[in-house]
Amino acid sequence: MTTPPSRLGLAVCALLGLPATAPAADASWEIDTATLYYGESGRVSLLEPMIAARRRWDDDRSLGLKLTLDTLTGPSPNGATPAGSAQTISGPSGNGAATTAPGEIPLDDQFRDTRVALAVDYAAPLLGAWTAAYGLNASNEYDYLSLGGSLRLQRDFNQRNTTLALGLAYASDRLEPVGGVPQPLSVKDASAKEDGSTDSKSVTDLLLGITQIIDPVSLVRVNLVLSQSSGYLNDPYKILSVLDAEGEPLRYLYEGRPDRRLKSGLFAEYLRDIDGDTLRGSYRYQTDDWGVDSHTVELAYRLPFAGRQYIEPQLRYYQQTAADFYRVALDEAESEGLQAATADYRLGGMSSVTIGAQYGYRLRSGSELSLRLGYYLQTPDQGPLPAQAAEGLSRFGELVPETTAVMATVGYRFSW
Amino acid sequence: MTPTRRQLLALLAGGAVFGPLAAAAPAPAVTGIPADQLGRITYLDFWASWCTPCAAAFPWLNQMQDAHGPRGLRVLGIGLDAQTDRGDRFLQQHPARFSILRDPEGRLAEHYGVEGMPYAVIIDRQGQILHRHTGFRPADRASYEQAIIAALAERGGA
Amino acid sequence: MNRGRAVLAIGLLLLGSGCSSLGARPWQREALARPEMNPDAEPLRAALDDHTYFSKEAASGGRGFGGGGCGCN
Repeated sequence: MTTPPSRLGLAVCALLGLPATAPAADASWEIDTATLYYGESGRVSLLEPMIAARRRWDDDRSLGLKLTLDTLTGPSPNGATPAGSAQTISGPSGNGAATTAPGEIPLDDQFRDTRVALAVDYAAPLLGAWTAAYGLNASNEYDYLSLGGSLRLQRDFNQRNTTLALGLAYASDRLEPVGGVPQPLSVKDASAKEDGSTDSKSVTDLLLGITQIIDPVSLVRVNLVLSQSSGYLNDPYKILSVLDAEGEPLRYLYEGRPDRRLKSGLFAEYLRDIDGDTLRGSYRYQTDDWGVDSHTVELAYRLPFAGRQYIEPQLRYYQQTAADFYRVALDEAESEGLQAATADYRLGGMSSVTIGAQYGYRLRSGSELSLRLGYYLQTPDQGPLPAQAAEGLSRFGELVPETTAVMATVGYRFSW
Repeated sequence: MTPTRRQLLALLAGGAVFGPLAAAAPAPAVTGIPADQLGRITYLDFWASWCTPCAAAFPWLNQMQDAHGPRGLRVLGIGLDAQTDRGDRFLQQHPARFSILRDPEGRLAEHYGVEGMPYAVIIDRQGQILHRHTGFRPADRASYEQAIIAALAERGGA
Repeated sequence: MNRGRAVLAIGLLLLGSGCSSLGARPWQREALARPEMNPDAEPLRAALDDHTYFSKEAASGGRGFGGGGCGCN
């Protein structure tokens, strides 16, 4: 199961701002919609429609509403490694066992429901030249509920050449996984899990940012972000294989992550107008106390043509180091006295590239249609194998899955 | 505190303190618009085609010219578009019943210390600045008009 | 967490240094007024990207909000 988007601190979503562009002269609702299709061949596929509405008033107040739906289907790697003979691993509720052919990376097929998320935000001038925005958000799916709030403060300086932004967000999540909440690092199918048991986690985010106009054609934005999560941070559906000297599984353990995580990061973005074209570049560095360090570089260039159309090629490069407790698999020796371990490839070393393009068309009425296509390739950096099972595992080719996906987004925005 | 941390805080504080001060208050102007345009109480409105509230101000400026013109007010719209054809297109979409002057290099804007867009300056017959304000908000129209009436009462008259 | 402190230090330097001497005069913001020059111009796309990449990678967020634009009113 891929961690569905609901696991994202919705707090962070709340800190993503809404456009500051000059509104239509007639105070009306600006409606913005986007629908994403994401598909990995042979694995998960996702459809995520989003609709947002914003109303502005002349006194600089604004109200925004956003509704998100997402349906995720298809199997994904559960963290176990390939074996020489077929593996049968039961589903989370003890039934629905999936059999994996020899040499194949085991997948689990999660039943997934539709997730619904709603966010509301209201912005108004505060004391003096400050603006405040208050946000509330909620997200619900069959095994997960998230509720959160956020506060954003903003002020301009230097004849609006400098903007300071401060943000604080908090989210409280509750999990009720199918088959109950497993004890971290307990043996799968051996220990009792209480069906209907729940656990929780909370996330607090802090943001400090400056947007600075450099000259009449360029600007830069720099943000510092801090994020603290605590509680049950495990993926209740992910396991690790404990292997013998031949690389065959002896048993499976549920993963166990620390119950706290502190992330800090720096984000910088640069925009430049080049005779009507727009160049956009950004860099993000993020580090945390789990040992994951990452770099993200994005580049895009918007080329308008034929008066009302544009084409924008886009490129993204990402790389991360593995979490300290990431293991491809465990051998007998390692499986004793573990504090934390995970075989979730999303916490492993990796690099990824996204290449894509966006096309837009502005209709005579002022509304805009856009289509964005992207291709995503993620390559794992496997890292060290468990000493006792390394030779056995080397029989198999790929132990940690590569991910390739196609993404398509259709967007439409208009005033109403 | 380690020296490095002190320096960092000083840098941050320095930027925060001196930043706003760098936007110095503009000096009052005696000249600016050409001398042959002086001689009446003039409401200078600095506008540009890319500025949405500037467009919203035009109907109101027309009303002010109509209402207070007979009492000696002259509205003068100063177009700041660097590309004058964009300014022309704007005027076609938002007709003006008041005089227009073009300032594509921003010299008049610099001279009158324009602090935001749109920007309004009321000057007397000699070009002395009586009033200025930034922005155009429909809710504040009454107070903008009050400034015009006050200027006419103070320095106006036949 | 030495690396974290280094991140904070670089960030503070960038934030605090010489912001006041840069910028555009209020009447020079034609290019900045274009919607594409607003870093928050496409919030739905940013949200979808963040969701997608959070589901496949360990890092998330960072973008923030506010500033740029025509500076009107």
